[in-house]
Amino acid sequence: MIVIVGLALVAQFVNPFFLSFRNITSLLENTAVIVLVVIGESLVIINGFGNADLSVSSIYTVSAVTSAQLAAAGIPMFLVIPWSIGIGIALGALNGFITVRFNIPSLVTTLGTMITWEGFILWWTGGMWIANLPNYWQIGSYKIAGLSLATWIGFIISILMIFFVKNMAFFRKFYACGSNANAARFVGINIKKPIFYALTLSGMFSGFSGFLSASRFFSVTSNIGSNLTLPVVASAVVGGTSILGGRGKMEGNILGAFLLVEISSATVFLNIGAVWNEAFEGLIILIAIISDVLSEKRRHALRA
Amino acid sequence: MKKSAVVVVVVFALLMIGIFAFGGSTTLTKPITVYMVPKFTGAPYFVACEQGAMRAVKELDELGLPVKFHFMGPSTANTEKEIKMITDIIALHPDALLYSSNDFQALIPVLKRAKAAGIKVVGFDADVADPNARNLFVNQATFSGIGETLIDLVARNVGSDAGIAILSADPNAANQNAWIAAMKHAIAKHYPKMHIVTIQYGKDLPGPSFQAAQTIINAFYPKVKAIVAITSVAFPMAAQAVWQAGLKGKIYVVGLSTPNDMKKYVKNGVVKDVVLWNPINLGYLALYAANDLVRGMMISNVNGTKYIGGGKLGFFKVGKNNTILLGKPFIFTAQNINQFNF
Amino acid sequence: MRDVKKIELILLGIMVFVFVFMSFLSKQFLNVSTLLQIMQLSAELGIMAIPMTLIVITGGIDLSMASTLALSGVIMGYLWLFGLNIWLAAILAVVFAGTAGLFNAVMITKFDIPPLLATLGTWALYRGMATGIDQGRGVSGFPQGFLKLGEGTLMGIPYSLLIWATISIVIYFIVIKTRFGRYLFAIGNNETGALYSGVPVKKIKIIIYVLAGLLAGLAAVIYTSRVGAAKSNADANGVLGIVAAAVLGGADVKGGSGTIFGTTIAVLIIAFIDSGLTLANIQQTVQEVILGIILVGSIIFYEYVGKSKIRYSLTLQRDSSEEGDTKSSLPTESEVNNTRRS
Repeated sequence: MIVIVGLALVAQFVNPFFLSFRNITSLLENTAVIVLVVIGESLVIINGFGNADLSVSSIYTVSAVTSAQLAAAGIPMFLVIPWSIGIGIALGALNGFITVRFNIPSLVTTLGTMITWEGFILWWTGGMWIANLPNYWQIGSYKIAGLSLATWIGFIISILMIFFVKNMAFFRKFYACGSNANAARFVGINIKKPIFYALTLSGMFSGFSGFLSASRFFSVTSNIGSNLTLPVVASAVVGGTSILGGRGKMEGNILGAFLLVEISSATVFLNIGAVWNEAFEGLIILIAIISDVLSEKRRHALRA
Repeated sequence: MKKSAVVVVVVFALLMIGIFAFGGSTTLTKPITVYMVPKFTGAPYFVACEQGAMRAVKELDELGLPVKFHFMGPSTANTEKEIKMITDIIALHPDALLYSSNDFQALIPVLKRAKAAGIKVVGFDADVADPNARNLFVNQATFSGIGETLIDLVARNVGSDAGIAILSADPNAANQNAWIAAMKHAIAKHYPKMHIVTIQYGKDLPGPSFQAAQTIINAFYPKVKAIVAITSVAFPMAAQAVWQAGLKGKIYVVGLSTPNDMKKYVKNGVVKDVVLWNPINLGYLALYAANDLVRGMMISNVNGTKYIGGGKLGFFKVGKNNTILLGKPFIFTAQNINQFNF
Repeated sequence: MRDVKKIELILLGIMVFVFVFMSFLSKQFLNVSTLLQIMQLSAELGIMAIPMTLIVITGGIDLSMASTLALSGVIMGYLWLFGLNIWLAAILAVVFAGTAGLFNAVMITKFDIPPLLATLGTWALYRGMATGIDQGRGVSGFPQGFLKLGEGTLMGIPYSLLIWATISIVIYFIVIKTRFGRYLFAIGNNETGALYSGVPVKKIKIIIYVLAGLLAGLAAVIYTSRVGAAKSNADANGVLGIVAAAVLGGADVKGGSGTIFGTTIAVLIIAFIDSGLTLANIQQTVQEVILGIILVGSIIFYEYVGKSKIRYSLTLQRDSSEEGDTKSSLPTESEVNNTRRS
């Protein structure tokens, strides 16, 4: 949290436009389109050590591309949106099924499905972009009170998720399995179910986010979700989701996603010579991770 | 003076073709195998190059000069994968290899090996640093030509003292770096009051390109009056960012991209000019060049200058370091963009 | 825990199958020099997959190796550019890479940062540093003697393959025969138990992560020599390949199982499939789909076939409950979770 504010101040100092309305809305929008994926990802990670959904980038892409193709073929929006959610659920459930049925760590399953879907989408589109999209496709960029529709939807859903996850027993099972799978089993929780649901939800969010993000643009490319996975995992973790499982707050995810978006923006504002952007981002992520882990240890020490 | 030389050469070449055809050399009718390896297969630009090459294949077929053509490349811009692919292709013993290199240096050893194996190596779109690594390179436009065209357009539209931002692909992209250098040179030479405020990298991916463009606008407008986006992925994203920020007309967006991607933006006025060359012609010419080298035809020497045949495009002078030039950069505008479909 | 012998045999069988299959798809596959070329391209991956296997056995992971490769390659290039003897530069680069690994090790052991996170950060940081230093320029033009390393052969076998084989064999024996090797498995199966049994967990972890760095540095030297250039985007997608190789080779991501032999065979299998498909003119995108399916399929396969009779009940993993388990004498069975992971 400190890092977020600190970075903002530094950036603002160098270039006063950083806290401008336009930039803040950009930051919010870019956060909104990935925050749902981060939330889905953290739900999977919470389920325990060795769990992660690496296929988020591919599901995001598949959904974005296929939804765009449907729209380009003239199918109306109120059918395309359910499709994007549905394809996400389907692919996520596939991940879940393989993970549970064959007892494979989701990290590995999703590694495989990520590669598969990425290759599939390239083959399916032949590398071509979907460009002849009808005007109603661009609902994501429609503005209300200065913020795009995509931003509103992204944030509203994530805030809803905060409440759902805190209060529903359904989600509490995720945490239980992540903390202590054997204990969970003894209490009567079928530990196979939560991970399945988590992966399905992650897929659903990835699919929907893919559509949401793509709906801001005139054209959709076949590599739209490339390199999404690592920043998403980083966001979740920086936001407090423990890679060991059993812990993670949804609010943290929102902050984590925002921080990463802020970092990429700040690197441009600071104009340090864009060749150093990636190094800078890596450094900030490291600092955030280290400070997070250290503060966790301090908290534990105090408690003990 | 050049035109008459070309005419002479054309007539001469037609005679040569006629002689060969009547000579009944059966080696001419045996099919040759050509592999075309783009930087990556996932972009309309390279698909256009492929189309051009296939058009050439069709024409050559009709002339009784069959070509077995394969278009293969890494699915995303990856040097290592391209090296691997070319290594494997060498084992297949094709007659010619067309390449667009992801890396200025890294492909040199493998290309040299191809050459040593007797394969004719012809580059297109993106070359390597060592001219000895290939037999010929088909250049679409000179780097300085592109750089100057872009800067001229900027100066014409926002004045010769404007602050501009450049949106590129990746710090390692050789073509982009050469264009940036050419632009800097053009600025220094013609418009010393113009200055580059920032250079950002969009990694040739839509998301990061869009975000970079958006952030440039947020951070540097109104200091930045023009954005020059020099990749076919970044240009539409930059236009989108300007449009979404409601700054159509206030920021001049120009760059390199394929007309189909830019039509929408030209139509709604965000973009006035799109600079490119014709990638279909590029692929077409590259294939003809490969064919000429393998079959030893349509190559002629006039007064010490070598010329090579490019099918319907005519004959091309082989310049320094064995390169041939497709032509001048082409500017697509609202007037002509609808005539093109790639 | 997995039955290592079984897995190794299975993998060997798969490799033979793939080999035969690929030779059906394309006659060029059986050519000895082609095969050597294919294997040579995987040398860097193979070398890096070895320490990765060790790390995975202990239940960790190192995502930063490919980036360390790029960074040390760049450092070597620039050291040489500034006048240092190329071999000295290479040694310094390897030392530097070891330091990079040490940095990872310190974060993991001293600050207790989970390996996934720590190496996630260094993955980005190291790659970024490489990009920042190199700024897209790249270094090339290395002396011929240096290039021999990547290109040359001893009695027909490429140097890089010999190096890879040597390292493979040495580490293989260390894992099988020495106490160090047993410690790795102990840590992977039950870290707290191992700690309390007197295993020097921290020291071992430091060793393997530093080793990962050193070998990444070595791979960098070989890569740079083969490609003839030091670039910051060297081996851009390497991480995925390294993890996939270890996983395909039977290493259990949960920790506690893994085999050097398996990993090495897996690298070869992936290379054969990759090149075999290219030689058969199958598009790269299809290759990726196949690779993904194979990866998932192999894991499923291992879960069914690779399990050994001895089972450990680890509180944090989701085990499929199997009856009739026998226990062995290694420390295990912490029903009450009182490990660090709270």
